[in-house]
Amino acid sequence: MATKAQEVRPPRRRWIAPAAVAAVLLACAAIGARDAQRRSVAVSSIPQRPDLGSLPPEMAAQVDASEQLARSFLHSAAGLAELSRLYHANGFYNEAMECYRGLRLLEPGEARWPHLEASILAQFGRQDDALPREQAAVDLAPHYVPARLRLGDELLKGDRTADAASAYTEVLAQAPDDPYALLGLAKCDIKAGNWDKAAERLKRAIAQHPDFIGGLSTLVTVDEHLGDAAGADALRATIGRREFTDLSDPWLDGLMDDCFDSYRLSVAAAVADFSGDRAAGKAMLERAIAFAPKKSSFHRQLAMMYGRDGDLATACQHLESAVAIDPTDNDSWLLLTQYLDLMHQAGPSEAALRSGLANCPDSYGLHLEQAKRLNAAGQADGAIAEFREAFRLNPGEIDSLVQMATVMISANRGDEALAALKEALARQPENPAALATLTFYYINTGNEATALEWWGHVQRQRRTPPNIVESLRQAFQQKFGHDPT
Amino acid sequence: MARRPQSRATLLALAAACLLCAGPGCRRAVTEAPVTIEQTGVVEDTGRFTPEAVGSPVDGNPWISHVCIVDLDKDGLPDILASDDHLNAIVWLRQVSRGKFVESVLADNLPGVVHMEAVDMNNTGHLDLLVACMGEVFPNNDKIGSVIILENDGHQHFTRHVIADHIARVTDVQAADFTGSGRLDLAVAQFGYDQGEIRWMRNLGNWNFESHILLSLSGTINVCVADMTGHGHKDIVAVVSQQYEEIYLFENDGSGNFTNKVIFGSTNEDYGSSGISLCDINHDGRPDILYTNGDGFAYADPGLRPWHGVQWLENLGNGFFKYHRIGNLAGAYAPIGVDLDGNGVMDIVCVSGFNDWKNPKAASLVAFMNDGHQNFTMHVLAHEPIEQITCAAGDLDGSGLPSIVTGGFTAYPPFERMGRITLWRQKPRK
Repeated sequence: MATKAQEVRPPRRRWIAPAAVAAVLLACAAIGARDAQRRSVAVSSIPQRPDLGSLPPEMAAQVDASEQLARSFLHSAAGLAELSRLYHANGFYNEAMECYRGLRLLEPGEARWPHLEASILAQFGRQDDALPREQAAVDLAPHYVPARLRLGDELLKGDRTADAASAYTEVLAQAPDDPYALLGLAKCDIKAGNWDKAAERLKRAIAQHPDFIGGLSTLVTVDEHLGDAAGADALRATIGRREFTDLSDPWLDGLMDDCFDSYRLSVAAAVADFSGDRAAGKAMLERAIAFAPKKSSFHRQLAMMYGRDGDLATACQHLESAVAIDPTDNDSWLLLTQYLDLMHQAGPSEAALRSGLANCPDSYGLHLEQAKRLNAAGQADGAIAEFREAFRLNPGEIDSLVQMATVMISANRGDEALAALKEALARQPENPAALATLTFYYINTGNEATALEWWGHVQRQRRTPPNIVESLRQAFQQKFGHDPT
Repeated sequence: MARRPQSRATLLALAAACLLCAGPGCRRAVTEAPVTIEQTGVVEDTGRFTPEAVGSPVDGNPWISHVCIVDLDKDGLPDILASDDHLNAIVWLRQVSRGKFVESVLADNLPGVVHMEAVDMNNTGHLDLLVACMGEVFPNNDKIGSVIILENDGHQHFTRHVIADHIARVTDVQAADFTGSGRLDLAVAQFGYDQGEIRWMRNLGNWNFESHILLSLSGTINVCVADMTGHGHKDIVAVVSQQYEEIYLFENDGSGNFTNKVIFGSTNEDYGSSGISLCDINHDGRPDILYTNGDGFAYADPGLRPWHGVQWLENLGNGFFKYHRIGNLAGAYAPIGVDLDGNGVMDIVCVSGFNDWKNPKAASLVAFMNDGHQNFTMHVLAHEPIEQITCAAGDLDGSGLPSIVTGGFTAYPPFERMGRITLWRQKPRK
């Protein structure tokens, strides 16, 4: 067999070498043509340079480098991608979208480009334009959950509830218990009037993600609608002052690494902190400070993050920087005073308060702090004067009035206390502290009928802390010999 | 049939080349039409109006949440009403003679008063006041809102009727006959905080009203009433902020049965919806919706956001609307439609509550001038006073040209260049 095979083997293929050379030449020509075409697309997609004068010089340098890369034969797409990041991250949205249009031609299989373009349009309220781009992104990257969630959100905003529900359901198929998908479905249920189902989904989301503010705050609405006022109150207490935070979107969030705009970084830092990623927030603020070292509020913002982490020493360093930069930054003086006090540095704390008041004589917060300290030192008259000044400076905040009333009651200045509390309640009719203090006043003065009337108000105000309610009950019992209820 | 080796090689080479060409390339067209974020032209036009502080001088930081222009005493001279949240009162700046205003407290003990509307509620020929009280302007979850009607006896002595209280914080009240009963019912916006509502209140007569909840979401800022669908009944439009950032249409069947739908929504949870009003921008006989997003309270230090701006929803009829961005304006608030130069086309005036106030060129009062085809150019009318959140327009001086009134709410630094109530008189044009 072998002999026969040798016999039938064709003659030596002399054509192979020239053919290979021809193929290589053709391939080279083809590659060259393709790269030339790609480069042409990339170059034509480089936006006209906007005014970068308000940003640090690093931005212009990076734009230069990216443009250069985009003009190269071999890395034109990479250069254009870098340029798109720079423009998007720093708020040059039309320029970024011009880059994305080019990138979609250069890399038609890449979902990131339509997704990022959609994110810009949606940010500006252009849902109709964002929607087809997000749909394209989902088609290209069906497993990138943030794109599908965004698609659901955009459909929901466009009143296409059934389509939105499908998008969210798809997300749950990939990521069971995704809180944003459950929230989206709950919103679809609410639109359809199916409040019980919405409650069920939201509870499922919260069970898996107890700090999911979007779910908690929507459940407040649902509970109220379903008549569960106590449940709604408990949720409100859980939420406190925390804000809704948007879903994590690595393609979008990662852009901040290319941000040179200090204000944008400070906002992104706050959002990251709200979302629970304090480390990222700190890193962004450090960059913001590097770009704008003379901005006291960035130091204050960073100090608050350190403060929340319990690192008061570092927090104080930043607050000292803040007041050195801007001695009229009353919030920084106040925090410095309070943090030093927490660190048991009474002398420096007092000194900071004095300096703060000297530099910011119209600061409500500093006068309130001074009032509290004078009261703690037993100087009732001085404290009352400072409380009055604090209220004069900020009549929208009635804490000063309520605390002043407490001092007045202790100082046997009952009529003045009563007037202060009435003024407080005229401004904030259900303020828990004012209601409790007024009830205490009537207990203290032996006016049982009026004390009982205000006790009723305290009980109806569900935000009154239970320990305060209990103290009032005991005071009532002691004074009148029986329980108020 | 045997193929010649040379042609095979050629084919091979061509195939290889084609394969290489077909690699990542530029062949699939982008299907969507290219779009851009509108950048309107900006004209510095600070000479168009002459500002004048009217009413009481600024004492501390001004907290004016709403102003409106109305001839309350029907003496032929339009007056100014303002809600002052330091005083918890509505103040009346009566125009006692042309151009001269005297301020007095019209009604006090109105906690967190943020909106008033002059309407003859009881067909007496006198203007009563619908009043929205939040209880407290700053975030609060308590049910401390109230709807109050101040009944005018014709001599500007007002009797207070508490229509609803102990409800989620109320931000706007408007009147319309929703049922064809001949009585004016109410549409009520309740911002709340974590819990808000939109309700309508059926007028049962004798200052009694019956509530019907239309939506239970937090963050409603404004309600507007008009026949939006062309079906002959008064509908309700509302803007809901917080994390919703949506505009709702409540379509009325003429009997007070409302069907709601979202006619605009942003997926940007920090979009910052700050107000809506109605006006027929394109003169097609249908009321359009003017809409600003400029609330900058969330997250870090309050401030501007790049997407803040002004837009209008074109009423296409039958409950359909088309979104048009007009232009960007950091901290945009209080959009109103007004023909500023008397050329028969509707321009748009609004103010800025949050801007980069360290920049002396940051705008605090602007007009988007309409070329008659709904192409707008932004005219910066003023850079100060800063932190203005409300405005109204009307012919206050009898010149035939509208003046503007703005109100300042200074809750955040910088506490400088403040203005409480400012009257902007249009200079006569040459």
